[in-house]
Formats: sequence, C-alpha cells, structure tokens
Amino acid sequence: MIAGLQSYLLVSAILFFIGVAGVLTRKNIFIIFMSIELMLNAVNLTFISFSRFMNNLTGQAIVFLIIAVAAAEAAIGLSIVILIFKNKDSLSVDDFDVMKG
Amino acid sequence: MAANTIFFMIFSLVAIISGFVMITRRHPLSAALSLVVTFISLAGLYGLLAAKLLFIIQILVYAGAIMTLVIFSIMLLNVQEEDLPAEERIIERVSITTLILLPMIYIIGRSFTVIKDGQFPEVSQDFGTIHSVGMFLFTTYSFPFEVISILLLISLLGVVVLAKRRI
Amino acid sequence: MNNIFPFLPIGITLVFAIAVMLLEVLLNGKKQILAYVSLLGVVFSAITTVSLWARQTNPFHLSFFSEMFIVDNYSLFFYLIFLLCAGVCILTSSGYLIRENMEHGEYYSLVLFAVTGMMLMASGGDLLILFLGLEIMTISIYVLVGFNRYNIKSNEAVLKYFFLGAFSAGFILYGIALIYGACQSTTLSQIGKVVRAEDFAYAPMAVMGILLLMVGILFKVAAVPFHSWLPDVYEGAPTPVTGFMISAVKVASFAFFLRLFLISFIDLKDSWKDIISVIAVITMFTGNIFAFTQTNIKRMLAYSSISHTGYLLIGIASLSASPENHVADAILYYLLAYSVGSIGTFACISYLSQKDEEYVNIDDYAGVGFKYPLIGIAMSIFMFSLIGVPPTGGFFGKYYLFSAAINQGMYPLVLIAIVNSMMSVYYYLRVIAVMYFKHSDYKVTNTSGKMSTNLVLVYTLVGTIWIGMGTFTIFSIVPGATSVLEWTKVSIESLF
Repeated sequence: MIAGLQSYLLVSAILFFIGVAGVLTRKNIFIIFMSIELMLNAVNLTFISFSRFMNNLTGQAIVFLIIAVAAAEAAIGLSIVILIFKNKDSLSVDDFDVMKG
Repeated sequence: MAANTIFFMIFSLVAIISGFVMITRRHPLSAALSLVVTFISLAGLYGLLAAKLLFIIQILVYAGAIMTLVIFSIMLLNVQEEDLPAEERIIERVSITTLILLPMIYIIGRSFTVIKDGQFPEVSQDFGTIHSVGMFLFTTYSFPFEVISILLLISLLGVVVLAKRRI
Repeated sequence: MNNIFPFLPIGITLVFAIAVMLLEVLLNGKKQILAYVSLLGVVFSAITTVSLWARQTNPFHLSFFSEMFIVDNYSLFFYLIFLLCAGVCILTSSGYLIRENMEHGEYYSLVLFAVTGMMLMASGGDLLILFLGLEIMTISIYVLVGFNRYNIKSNEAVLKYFFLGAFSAGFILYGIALIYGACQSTTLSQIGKVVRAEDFAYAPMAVMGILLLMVGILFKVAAVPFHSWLPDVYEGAPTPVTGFMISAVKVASFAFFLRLFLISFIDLKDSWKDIISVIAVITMFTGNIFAFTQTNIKRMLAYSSISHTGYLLIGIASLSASPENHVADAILYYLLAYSVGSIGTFACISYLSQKDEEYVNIDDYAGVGFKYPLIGIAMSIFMFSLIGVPPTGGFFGKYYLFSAAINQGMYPLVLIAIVNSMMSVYYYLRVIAVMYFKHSDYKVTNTSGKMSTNLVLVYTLVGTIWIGMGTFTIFSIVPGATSVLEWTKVSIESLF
C-alpha cells in the first residue's frame, strides 16, 4: 500500500471538519479562533497535495498567500479578543447576547 | 510499505489526534500547544509532498509566529480558571458534533473516488524549492503578491484602531 | 498611458486611502478635512471610471496579469456603485463621528480600503484575486464595525462578524481548493472551459467545490440558514457603517457571486440551481416574517435586506449561459436600485439618531415627517423604492428581475416572490405611517442637519427616482436616464 492523493485529501477533509466541529461546539473564543486556523491548514494541505499531483506550482503559491491572509486575520482576531476581554472580562461567546429579536 | 507511507501514517495520525485534542481542551493554553503539534505534523506532510519552502514556512510562520501570537495573547490576558466559559462535558459534545459531521466527510471523500490513479508522479528536484516558488511568485503571481501587501497594511491599521488604548 | 489607465480607479482609491492614513498623523485636531480629502478621492476615482467607460467602444474587455485582473464594463458598473455608496457613507459619517466622539482619520481610510477590496472583487478574473479582494473588504469592515470601541453592542457585533466571516472564508477556500484540483486552474475562464468539456472526469469533485464555495458566499450575502449573524451585526455597527454594509458590501458579494457563476459554473447549473431556488424561498420568507416583529429600525432593515437577498437569489437561480435572456442585467439593475435606496435610508437614520445610538426605534420617528420635511419625503421615497412602487428604481428592479425569471420558466419562485413583496409593504409603510400620521410628541429634536445632510439626501433621492424614471421611454427626456438599462446590458455583454 502506498499513500496516494486520496489519502492526503481524506486527511485534510477530516482535519477541516474537526475544525468545523470545534467552531460549532465550543464557547471559548480562543478555541473557536484556533479551530478556524485548523480549517485553513486543512485547506492548505489540499492545495499542496493537488499541486504535487499535478506537478503545478500554482497551489503552493496560493498556500503561500493563504498563510499571509491567515496571519493578517490572526492579528485582527486577537486584537478583537483583547478588545472585548478588556470591556467585558469574559471569554465566552454566550456572554455576548445584548441584542435580541 | 514504503517509508513515505509510514511517515504519512505517523504524521497524519498525530495531526488528527492532536487536532481532536485541541478542540476538547478546556484551557486555551493546552489547546494552543496541541495545535502547535498539529501544525508541525502538517509541516511533515508538506515535506512528504515535496513542498520544501512551505515546510519551512509552516514551521516558522504558523507554528512559530502565529501560534506564538496566540499564546502571547492568552498569557497577556492572564486567563484564569474562573474566566473560562462554563462548558460541561466537552468531550461528549464535541464527539457528537463530529459524528453528525461524519456524513459530510463521507460525501466529500466519495467525490475523491473520481481520481482513478492517485499515484504522485515523479517531480524534478527543483519542485517546491525556494528558488522555483520564488520565481513563480515574482513572475506569474506578482499581482496577488502585491495585493497581499494591501491586506497586511490594512490588518496593521486595524490592529492599531482596535487594540490601542487611545487613538 | 493606455496601460495604466484601467488601473486608475482602483489605484486612486488606494493612494487616497494611504494618504488619509498618513495625513491622520500629521493633522492635529482638524479631522474634518480628512472627510473631504477622502471624498475627493472617491470623486476622482469615479471620474476616471466614467471616462474609462466613455473612452472605449463598448462592450470592452481588458485583462491583465494573465487574466487575473479584468477591467470591463461589468467591473466599471460595480465600481460606480461602490464609489457612490462610499461617498454617501463618508458624507454621513463626518457628523456622526463627531457626535459619537470617535472622530479618527482611520475611519475614512478604512472605508477607502474596503472600496479597494470591493473593486478587486468586481474585477478579479481568478479565484485567488476574488478571495483576496473579499478578505481586504471584510477585514476593513471588521474594524469599521468595531470602531466604536467602548460600546458593548459594537463589540458584540464585531465579535460575531469576525468569527462568522473567518468561518465562511474557510469554506470558500476549501471550495477553491477542490475546484483547483478538479479543473487544474484557478482562472475563471479556464475553469469555464474545463467544465464545458465533454470528457470532464472530475465533475463530482468540482460540484463538491462549488457547493462548499456556495456555502461561503451565502454566508457573506446572508441567505437563510446562514443569516443569523446579520441582524446583530447591523444593529451593533455604527449607523453609517451599517448603511455601507447593507449596500456596498452586499453588492460586492453579489458581484463576486455573479461573475463566478456566470463565467465558470454555468455549465454545471443542474447541480446548484435547485439548491439556490430552495434557499431563495426560505430566505424571502424568513426575512419578511422576522421584519414584521422588529421595533428597531436598523434590525427591521436588516431583515428586509435578507429578503432582498432572497429576491436576488431567484435571479441567480435563473441564470443561463447566453446574455440574450437578460436575467443577469436585471440583477445588476436591481442591485443598483437596491443599493441607492438602502444607503439613502441609512443616511436618514444616521441623521435622526442621537448620541449613543438612541432613537433608532420606529416609534421614535413620530412626527418627523412634518418637522423635517426633506427627511420625511426622502425616507418615504426610499421606502417606496424598497417596496417596489412605481416610478422608483425599486419597482423596475423587481419588474425586470421577475419578468426575466418568468421567461426562464421559474413561475412558482416568482409567485412566491410577489407574495413576499406584498408582505413587505406592511413593515415599510409602517415607517411612513409613524412619521406622518402618528400623534407626535417630537421626541427627535436635534438632528445634525447640515449642508452635507441635504446634499446626500437630494443626491440619493434623485438617484432613486432617476433610475426608475429612466426606464419609461416617455421620460427619456431625463438626460442619460434611459441608458441605465443600456448600461446593465452592456456590462453583461462585456463578460462574454
């Protein structure tokens, strides 16, 4: 048995949905944030496997740029977390329910 | 079994298990540390796929910079046990959600069966090196590369607006 | 010069965004100037857009960087909508920011950066550029939503918007990855070619990719069941930002959606048409039914914007591969009419609201109609446009969209949409009724009525009526008016 393209894609699908499960179930802002990072990483694995399979560098260039996007998003996301922690002193998404209707 | 396959199995098992551990931890710090393990084993998978530059970047930028930033913020906020949201039986709830999502993985996995021959072709020594990816980024992909610079500028500006004490 | 000219609209916006950011540091105190500087940027950019359109023989199609960046009539049409919305947003913001005590130059800079991202979304010819444009736009909007940092509602809004935005970006990227794997390319026209081929072996994977991408985009346009973030975000964001989001951000998401599905995925229509139709129906009903019960006008308009998404999705579901059947240009027309109407409404709301976002309940507007005649008239006309009463733009938007969908045989969908439009009459008219007929105790006192207020209102008012009037041949004396319809046609033709 030799690990082919399908096995890599399956691993990335599993990682992606572990990330989705984390976002859907957890209430801790930090862990939701990290689950989203895990989703992005799973996508990167898909890109790189396709890139290797097609012998085509586009996928790797895209991953390079996605990592930059993830870094930008991480910076913004963490500053949002810090902002609301300072104002509300809580890390739970459930505490943010001022608006209803 | 080829050495590649053994490494693939080790890395992917470690990645999946530590990913699952990450979403079941109560304290964000231990979650962050298991996410670092996932990232490093993903870097190993990138290495197996001949993505040499991305192997380095995954460790330097993701496991290094981004996760350091996350851990730094957790420590900066000095998150105590009582600050954490009250979450009962995390492992059960996460497992149920994962089970509900299993059909999705199955549907997506089934679409991969159209790939008749999943064997990776031989690639040249140069594939995925700093030189080749760099050449590609600065020629064919020069436009997106410039666009990324705008994105980074905005995130810089955004962080100043959101997190500075007084603007 | 010829080479650089197509880049001018986006370049000018970007240069002014950076200039405003730097000027903020240099100017101490006189932040009002920055509003005018950024407005100047918007005007310059709009002038270059118009002259770019006028210089070419239409329809034209220029592509750069191996089809990554495309300037055609389609993208220029959207540039104009974005610039119009940004202009109105900047003009309404300056008074609002002073009142809320958060006058910082970064605000205007971020609005211009968001416009840059939207322009990339309208003119990207590659999935990667479309995604990067989307990210540039959403990151700027995250910060704008959370701009009122000491307001707990604003914090809650930015938290929800960030997490759902990042979550949907994950789905969009996964979709892009699968499409890249199936089609071996991320260029839209190339994907279209691969998908069209007879021996396309990877179709199931491409369809999976399209569905994942669709989940992400439907999050962005807030279609049910991916809409839950929208009312809270729209309520919590600063009012001018909400106006910008309800108009420009939604239009940009549809620009992305339409180009992608029209160029690349139209030949796999069978796989996504039914899903979009079902989502359109539940989106319309959910938006309209929830809008009934709202007392806060921002929330009411948020739900009504969900129902407008539903109407537009009918258009997407009845797209077809040839430009002759005019579904796509009806969507453009609808987007123009909708965005002008809704940004105008929000201009009115932000003038009427007081410090700390008070007086945003519908009942607070009692008597406004007589006390502030211009705002009363403007608000009524915008409401009529959103309902779709002739001769406003909204009526013709709906008329063209529904008749084009009927030509494609979507009778049940159009019937449901008409029923929904009738339902929407109630909650839109309620605002007018409160303004004019409710016994007034003049709760709203101090509006920041200034020159710019009246300017914006007159500007959007004329726009709304002009878009509508222009479609009557009888009114073709209105200069340039008949051509609105012509513009949309040319825009769609330039895609093919």
